[in-house]
Amino acid sequence: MFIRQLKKSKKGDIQIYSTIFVLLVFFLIMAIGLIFYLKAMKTSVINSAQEIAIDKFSLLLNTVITMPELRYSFHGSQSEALDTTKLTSFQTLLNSNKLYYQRYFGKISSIEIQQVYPQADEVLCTEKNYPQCSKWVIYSNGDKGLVYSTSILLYYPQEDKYKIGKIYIQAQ
Amino acid sequence: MKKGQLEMVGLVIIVILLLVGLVIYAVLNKPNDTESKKEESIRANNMRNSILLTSLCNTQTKYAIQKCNEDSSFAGCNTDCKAYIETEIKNMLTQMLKKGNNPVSDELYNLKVTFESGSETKTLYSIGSCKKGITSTTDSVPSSVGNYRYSFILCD
Repeated sequence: MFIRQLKKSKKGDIQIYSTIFVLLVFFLIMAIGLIFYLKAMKTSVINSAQEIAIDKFSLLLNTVITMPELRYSFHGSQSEALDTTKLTSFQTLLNSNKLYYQRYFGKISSIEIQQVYPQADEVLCTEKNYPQCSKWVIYSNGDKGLVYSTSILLYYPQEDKYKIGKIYIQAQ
Repeated sequence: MKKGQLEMVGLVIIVILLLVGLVIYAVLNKPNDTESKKEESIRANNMRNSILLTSLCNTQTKYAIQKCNEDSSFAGCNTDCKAYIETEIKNMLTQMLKKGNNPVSDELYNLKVTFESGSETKTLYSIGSCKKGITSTTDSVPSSVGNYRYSFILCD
């Protein structure tokens, strides 16, 4: 009778171990699946963030370079270049309409433009030293966020010449 | 069905589920280059436009290229126009791609200018040795004697 009970309990033990083993394997598979899923989700979120950032910067860039306050136009016809005289006097305009431009630029922290071709020493442009300068700080409202840069065309009306510049937009 | 057979079927189902999961993961985890390509494409187009519209040899680069090709008496560059234009375009690209003080390799870009006249196509300039990269849209400028095509590849 005792031996029969022992045999029974051994069979029961094996069944318990078997159940525990099946559950362990099940949870292991679940955990692996979850890790894969989370990794895939992370990649997808990173891609979406990149996508949004690129779209946002393209939009910001477009916002800046299409501003009539900065863009070169001739007889009402818009050119692809930024007018350097407008860039130089923009600071005065900005100071007298600070709130308007703060709302207009939104999350932009700073906008800087640097002439890169022909190469020139980095001298900040003011109304006094223009055109003997090569850098414009169009807008500055802190130093936060990522910087996006691209090539743009600069127009110098006094010389009637186009030069190459780089625009740096920093935004949150 | 016997118990052993049922267990086998269960195991096969688990293996199939695992395989399906792996396939879904591989598909979802595939690097998404579309957006970075989009950004590079905007950059490539901006760079090509900047180069072609910049003042060079008393006109804009694209017209300097045309005049140098069509008019043997063109003296806007005050020197051998073809060599001068090539050097200056290289200089423009170097300045635009420069990051800090690091030198810019000509493997990062390729600006190709071709001239089509009738059925004949001639490559006027091929500046830089980048072969596979982000290609800008091709700009086509007609002239009285043919058609100029400007394309730009960025390998940055």
